[in-house]
Amino acid sequence: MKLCDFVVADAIVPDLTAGNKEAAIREMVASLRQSGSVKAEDEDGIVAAILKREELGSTGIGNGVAVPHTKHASVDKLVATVALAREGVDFASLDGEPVFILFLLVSPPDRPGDHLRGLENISRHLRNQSFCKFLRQSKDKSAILELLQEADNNEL
Amino acid sequence: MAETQSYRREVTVKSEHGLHIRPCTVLAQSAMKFQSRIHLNKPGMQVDAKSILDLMTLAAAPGAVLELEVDGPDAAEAIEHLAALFDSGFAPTPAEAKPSAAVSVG
Amino acid sequence: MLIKRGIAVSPGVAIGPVLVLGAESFRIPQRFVSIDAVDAEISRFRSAVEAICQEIGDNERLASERLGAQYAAIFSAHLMLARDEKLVREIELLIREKSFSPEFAVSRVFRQYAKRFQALGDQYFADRAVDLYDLEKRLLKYLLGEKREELSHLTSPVLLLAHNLTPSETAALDKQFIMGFATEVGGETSHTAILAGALELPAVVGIGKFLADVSGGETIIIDGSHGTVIIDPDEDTLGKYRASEERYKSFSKRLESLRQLKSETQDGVPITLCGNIEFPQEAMTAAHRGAEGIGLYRTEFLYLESQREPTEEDHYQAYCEVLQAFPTQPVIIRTLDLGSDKMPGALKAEYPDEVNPALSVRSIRLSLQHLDLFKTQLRAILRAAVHGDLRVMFPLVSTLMEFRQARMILGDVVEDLEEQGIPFRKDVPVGMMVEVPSAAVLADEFAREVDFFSIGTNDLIQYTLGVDRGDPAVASLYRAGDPSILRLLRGVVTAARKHQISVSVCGQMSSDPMFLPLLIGMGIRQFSVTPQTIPELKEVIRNLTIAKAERIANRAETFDIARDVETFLRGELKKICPDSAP
Repeated sequence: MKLCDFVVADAIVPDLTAGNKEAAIREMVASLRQSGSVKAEDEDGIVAAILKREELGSTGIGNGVAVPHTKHASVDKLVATVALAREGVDFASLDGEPVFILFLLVSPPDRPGDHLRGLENISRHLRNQSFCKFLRQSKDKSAILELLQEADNNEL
Repeated sequence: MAETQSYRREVTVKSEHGLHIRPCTVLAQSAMKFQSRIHLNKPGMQVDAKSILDLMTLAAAPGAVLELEVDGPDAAEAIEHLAALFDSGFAPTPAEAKPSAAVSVG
Repeated sequence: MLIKRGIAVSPGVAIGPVLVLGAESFRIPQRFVSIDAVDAEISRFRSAVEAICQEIGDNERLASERLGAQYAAIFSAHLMLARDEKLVREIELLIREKSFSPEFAVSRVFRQYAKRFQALGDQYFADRAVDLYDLEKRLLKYLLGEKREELSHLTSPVLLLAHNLTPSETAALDKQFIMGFATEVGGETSHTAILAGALELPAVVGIGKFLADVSGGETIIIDGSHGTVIIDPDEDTLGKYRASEERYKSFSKRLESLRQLKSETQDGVPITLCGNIEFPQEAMTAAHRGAEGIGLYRTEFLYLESQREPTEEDHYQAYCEVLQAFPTQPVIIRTLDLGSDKMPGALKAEYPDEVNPALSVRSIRLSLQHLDLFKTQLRAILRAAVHGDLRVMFPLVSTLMEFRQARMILGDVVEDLEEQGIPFRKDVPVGMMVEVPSAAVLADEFAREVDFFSIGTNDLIQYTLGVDRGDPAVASLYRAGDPSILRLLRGVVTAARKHQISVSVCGQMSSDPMFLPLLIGMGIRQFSVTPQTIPELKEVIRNLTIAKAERIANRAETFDIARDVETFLRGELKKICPDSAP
């Protein structure tokens, strides 16, 4: 599974405006909705599910990265989006530092395999310092998308 | 007893790695759906197409030309079906998925 | 009289009549069956085929759920092979017409096909012969029953000789009748060797080919302390060994008496001695030896022993078995600690062979790349934790990010279990192994987020000194007493104290009485050790004061080469316990 298989290109948020955790999650899910990947009536439910998961332990895993995620019956395949927060968002991360890179995943509950493949894939790339650095330097959607493709092709 | 028909036809192995275990599985599974006796021939060798083991001993490489030989009441249908499988390079089609599900009992 | 030398893996002396296990993993008991029995034998064969088809079908479903349809295809091919009409016909024909036993017919027909595959002159097909051997083995295993035929009908004490014993065979040895064993293959760190120690059976492994010299039934001596096997001993030798058998028994008794005594220093400071185990069966032995818990339960066995990946239930049952031996004491489970090179089946194929396994995808790295595998284990841990003081520990953590990712996955598992309404414990303590130098150097940072440290000295020494202990050319450079190791240990202890988390040592260094005063002197109060060494270590502890241990540690840290450190420590141990071993 490749990043570009599940990251919805139209839903990428190159400049997250939200200033806190909940708003950041809300903004990313809204972007998924605008791209047609989640339905308007499910938006609140998805946000609530992601926030509930965050209560069990922040998905801000350090290095300025967070991977909020949830399972939700309203989607029929794994969808994800990437957002860059230029000023950083307080995500109650384990290291207490703000996050700048966010990957948000929503997956159907009956396909746990895809969900895990997605998480594995993201965590592998996030361990690559160049990937994180170049991602933060990307100015717009197309630059981010290009970087994701390069990562998929192991060109970094 | 049903009327017996006999057919022979040349087929070419088009699957990427030749008659490896997976194409053999598909072929044997398909052959077993027919009552007819089905053989694959190559010079000096004849194998039972309903036996995956036999099929594998052909060790047929990509591009190999084999003869399909079918005798039995449903031979006409069988030879068309199996020849089509060779032509498709043994790509699993929805039609193939069914008998395989029937085999995986337990 | 014939004397053979091998590797001593489990001390003690045993004397008795010999039982030789066939070198083939499955000895086929008979070639023919009576003509009257043919029909019954054919139906026995058919139910064996049905049973293994069922088993393969289960594996297929498991593979398709876990790994995806392309892996499941391998099993559907196996299923087709097992159901191959021609093959089945040939086997039944041999049973019917030649009165061959099903075992013999199966073996014969499968082997003929395997040989044909090998003769095709194509590597791919030659490799497929392995699939046939695998099927043959499954069928024979079913036909012969789980245990090797010879082992299931013992009625009197014997000493066992075999080419090899698998860990599961070793674990299943009936201690009532098996007094000791010796094998042709195997090494000091093989699972079989570890188990022999746990079962307290005198054992010698790695003897090399010698079974041809034994006919079975003669008297032999297995000296597991010195690694010798004596076949057909003369009277003098026999007398000598009978005496040493007695001596060993009384030494064991003396250590046994230590079990009741507290593990504390002369000045009354308790030192916790937990056991390292690899198999759930070892837990009870560890408890008998006086272990105050399990400080390191290595779970790799679950992955290595079976043809398939362990299910959540496999994990759960194993953990519950350990908790039965330690219902109220801590049991620390280390998650999967294998390299991709050791992984069974499909996983191994995902990674290239040429990489250095010690520095590649292994342990927590492997778990984080195979989350379904990881989550299965974590689910079982959280579920089993309901029954006792279970804790989880991640191996080979080298960066904080890795630890946090692992913790995040644990959070996902908590969420899943909560949603599914399955009973589990949420607040299971989460620790890590400190065994990569980066983790030791950053111990202060790690200690803020981790519930406990366990120092894995084996890998820590290997990575710090850059020495593979298994390589004889450099093995002498592997020294636990190296000043660099002492300094790293000191740093980890200081960080743990500062952040008030517990720290224990679980590598082999802690099972060596020589290093115990040093480690206690550095401030370590918990150890997880090979269970058999507990009585001996307790004796050292009970002859020590904290002040003395601290003096020893301080002095040891002034030396600048490993040899001086170790010479000093050895001398100090002699002063503390003048007669620590027989």
